[in-house]
Amino acid sequence: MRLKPKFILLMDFKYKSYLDTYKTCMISDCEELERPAYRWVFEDKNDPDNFKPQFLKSDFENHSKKNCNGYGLSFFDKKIEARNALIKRCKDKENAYKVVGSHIAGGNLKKEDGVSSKSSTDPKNFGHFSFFEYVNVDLVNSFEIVEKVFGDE
Amino acid sequence: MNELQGYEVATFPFPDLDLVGILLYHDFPSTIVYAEDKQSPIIIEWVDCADDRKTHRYLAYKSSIKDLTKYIYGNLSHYNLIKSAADGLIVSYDEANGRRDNMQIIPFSKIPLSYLPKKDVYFESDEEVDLNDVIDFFNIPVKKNYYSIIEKEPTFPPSEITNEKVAIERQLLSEISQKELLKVVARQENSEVINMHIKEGSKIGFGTADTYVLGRLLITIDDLYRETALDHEEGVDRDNLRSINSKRGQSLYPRISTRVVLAEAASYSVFIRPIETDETSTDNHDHSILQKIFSLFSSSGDKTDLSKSKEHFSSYVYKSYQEFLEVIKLSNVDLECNFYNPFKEESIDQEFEYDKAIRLLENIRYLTTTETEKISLNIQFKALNTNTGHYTLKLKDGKQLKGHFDDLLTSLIPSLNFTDRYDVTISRAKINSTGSKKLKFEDTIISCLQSKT
Repeated sequence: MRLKPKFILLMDFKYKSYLDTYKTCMISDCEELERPAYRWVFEDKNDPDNFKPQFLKSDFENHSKKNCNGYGLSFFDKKIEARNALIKRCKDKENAYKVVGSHIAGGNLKKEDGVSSKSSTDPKNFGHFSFFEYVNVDLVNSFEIVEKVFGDE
Repeated sequence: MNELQGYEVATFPFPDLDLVGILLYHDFPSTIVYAEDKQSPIIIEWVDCADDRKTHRYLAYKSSIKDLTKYIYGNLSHYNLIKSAADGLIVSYDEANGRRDNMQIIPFSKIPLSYLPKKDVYFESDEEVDLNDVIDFFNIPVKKNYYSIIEKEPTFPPSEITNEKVAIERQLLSEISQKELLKVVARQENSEVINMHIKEGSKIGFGTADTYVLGRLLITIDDLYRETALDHEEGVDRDNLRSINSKRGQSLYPRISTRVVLAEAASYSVFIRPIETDETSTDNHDHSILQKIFSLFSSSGDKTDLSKSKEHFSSYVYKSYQEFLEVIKLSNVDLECNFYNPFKEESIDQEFEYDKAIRLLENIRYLTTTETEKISLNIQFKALNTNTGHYTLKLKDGKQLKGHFDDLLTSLIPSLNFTDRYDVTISRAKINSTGSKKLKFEDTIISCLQSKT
């Protein structure tokens, strides 16, 4: 991976072996930031898929993984942005919450957790950003479920 | 996951698929494009999963490059992309550990709403994953050339009529055809089934049909079945069944009536079965009632064959067939009737369109037979019409007959009176009209001389 990073790489990325296979990657535009973050998760706080990058899930097993984004985690700046995006996502596939998460988890990302992209200013995806974890980082304990969006009453 | 009400199939109808790419989404592959060949996109939609997220449910359907293009460029909603599936046929299946299970052909109308996108959801390019792979594989034109591949710039959202034309083109290309669905439905119903497939007509859209047309087609084909079944039950010399509500009609009803078991968008297809399975449809010797109807369809294309068929059908059958053809003619629809017998694995197809309906109607009218005889009578006129040439005459026994003068004799009428007697020669035509058991007589005076006595 040829990077001109906006950060001094003192830590390896958690999924370095995969990221290294890409000639270009958005990581080069990412920064270490302290920021609040919200993400779709499953009802069980400890669900192993809650903080697993999409490309590592079996769902993408047989598909080409063209860019490195799939090894990052999706977050939103605000809870309401995460909520609106999930509701919008389920307009196309009503049951999508069963595979992408039905709840919103909120927490704070720290500089030592990894690097994050700029937040999207596109109205369709407002407040979304990607986050690439450093090795040995486990975000589970840094986040709490803050809202249920879908699921049984 | 929802219980589906489709028709189970043993094998996946798209066996040889090449993955082209994920269309949507980054977070989960939900709309994935495969290909049978460069012209045939097969789209697989993730729609649901079990609570353990190990068993996933998908819908698979064949689309067209046109529809896929329109979807990608935001001119066709995701809902309508699925609805416009070739032949309107969609296959659902569950997949766990790479193994497909619970495969069903599911009519669009029976897909749970939770499995369909909301109607206002259009493709958003910022959600795409492998869009360029899809565009490259199917050679989809860049957006500025996009409108050159569709007949006209579509409205937003696209009209059903545009879809209808596209759907008809797809009929010819589709591997999972209406005929395949017919076989599946017939096996499921354990009965012979016909697919009355209304392919085109001004009052027919993709998935829609004006009640005026569809209603009449259904009534007349049910009547045709009823009359043929009555011949089967009671012989061709039977009487007319005046009312289905009569005691006789009610006792025969299940054996002489049909039932709609499925309606599908394609442009509009109605699958019809006899209410009660005809015993002859299950044995290998006789023709079933529906087979007899199709043999009538076939023989009606030729006057000689049609004349020969008269020994097998009563006049009521011809009359009901005539009415069915009249609806096709007046509604100007293109219709295809496909028959499938699941017991004998026999298929029969018959197409009807406006010109053919007119030709077949002429052939049926040809069945009208006329015999003439000459009768000499001594009569007295009771009424004469100098304008129309009609007369009423009285025989010696007091019996009255009506008729008209031959055109060559009408000038004679003013010289006739009501007191003298006349010797007349009458040409009597005995007409056996299609659909009528009673002979009709037409009398024409061809000579008239004042009686000498």
